[in-house]
Amino acid sequence: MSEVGVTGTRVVPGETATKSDSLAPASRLSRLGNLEVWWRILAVLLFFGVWQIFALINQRIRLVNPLFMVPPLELRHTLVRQWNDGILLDDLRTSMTTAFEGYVVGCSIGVVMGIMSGYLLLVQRLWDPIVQIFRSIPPLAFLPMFILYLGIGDLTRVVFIAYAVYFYTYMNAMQGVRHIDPVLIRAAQSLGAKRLRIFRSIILPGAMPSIMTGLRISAGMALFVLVAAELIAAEAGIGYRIMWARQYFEVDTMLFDAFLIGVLGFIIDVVMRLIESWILRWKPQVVET
Amino acid sequence: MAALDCQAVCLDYVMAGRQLRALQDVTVTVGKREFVSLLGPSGCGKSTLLNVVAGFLKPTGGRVLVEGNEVTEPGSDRGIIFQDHALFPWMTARQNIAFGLDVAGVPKAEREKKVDELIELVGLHGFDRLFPSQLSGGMRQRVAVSRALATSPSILLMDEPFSAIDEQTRQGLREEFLRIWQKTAQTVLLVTHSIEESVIMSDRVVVMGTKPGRVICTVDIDLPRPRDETSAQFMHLRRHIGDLLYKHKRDSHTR
Repeated sequence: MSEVGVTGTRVVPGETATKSDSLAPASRLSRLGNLEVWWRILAVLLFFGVWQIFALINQRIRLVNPLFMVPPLELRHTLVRQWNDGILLDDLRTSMTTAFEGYVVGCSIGVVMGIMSGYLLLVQRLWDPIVQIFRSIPPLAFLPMFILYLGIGDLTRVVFIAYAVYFYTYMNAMQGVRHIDPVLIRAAQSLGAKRLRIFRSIILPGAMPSIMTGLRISAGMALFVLVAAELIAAEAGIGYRIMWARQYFEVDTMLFDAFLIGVLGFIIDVVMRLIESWILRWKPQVVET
Repeated sequence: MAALDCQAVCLDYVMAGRQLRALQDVTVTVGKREFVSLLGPSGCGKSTLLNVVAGFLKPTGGRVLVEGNEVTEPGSDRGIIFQDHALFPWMTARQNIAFGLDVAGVPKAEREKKVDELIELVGLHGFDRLFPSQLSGGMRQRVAVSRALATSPSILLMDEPFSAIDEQTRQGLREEFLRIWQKTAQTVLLVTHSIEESVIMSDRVVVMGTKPGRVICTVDIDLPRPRDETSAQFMHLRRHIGDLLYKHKRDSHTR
């Protein structure tokens, strides 16, 4: 480029194209051209194909009780049935609302406290040890206590999800603030910026990659603990549906709802990554974690 | 009044329970529009002195005056160009350059005009909407130069600004920077470990030595600009400074 050159060389804007394009954030769609993707699709098809064939054979030879061995293609009937009964949308609405509320509450508190803990030494000294203790305990261990205190209702599940999600957002926000390059803060100081301005223009955007990672992991985690909570304490929702189906030996429903959660998790992850790569568009590439 | 006046600056720090002296009675004066280099081996405290002048470190003795005012904290009267550019990665080149003006509360129209001038000055035209990660090393350093110049500082402090850049680019950038320096009549204090760089660029070279970090002597570079690196005087000065550093190193070993 230009600086090979002589003093005062003008740079032709057209020259930027190649340079900037090669460093631009890699498009997600371009991965479809990747051979690895086709291997993945093949693996999935193979797995379900073998399962389907085995289940069909099993219906004849009864190696295991056919009630327990549902052919995957059968699940399309489950989809239609749940859709017609209105169960599908009801369950989705119930579960997603709970997960979303818990997620928002937990992330908000987690991000704010994480930033404070990374920024203010006093907060870190007083609060971080407590977080470290509770972080090492699986949140599910506290679910019975949550139920005892708050009963079996929406509130319990929302609080429980918020609690579980808190740790990921807190930890990532705190690390993000603490690992900001001190040279950037010095640079801002030398340009006249004071505390508040440095916080707004350097600390917050500098911690953003880490905060976004926390928010993305938390989204998956919210779904994860939601189902756990619904299995134990709920009157509706996807997790509840799975428990309910167990009593009626509806293995297809149990399987269908399990996969439904998988699909939801996948969609949420894709959406979160899109948001992340848009917010962090200044980065050459979003780091996978 | 000098642009920069370091008066008997001392800096001690404690490491592993032992008190160490990083700077001992360092006195350096830089006149207005003067280009002065701090030259020395690693450990001579040249970067430490720059950090004291920048206001990042408080001297344990002596004081630093910039245009007569004692330095107590970092401020926009001292523009800094860091070794690894230290651009804000989430801001475009343009936003980086505008940052200091924005902090100072300069109105938008005026700010944009000034930024446009700087972009023109350093030859960043067409690159100003890109993020640092999309720019080459040389381009990033140009943005860093414009950013430091934006607030019209009394003195520009440069901490080995060309050391993290490949050789070909470095030569071009040095020439380019000299052109900008002459055009803006900017006072400059450059930290470098390259004898050649100090002789090419500065009016005066402050040679520093180690254990403790201190000034050995000052060498005036009285050569016409642009400087011819193959001229006899140039080579003489380079050898002279090289000898000074070598003698210092030999003496400090035998001591």
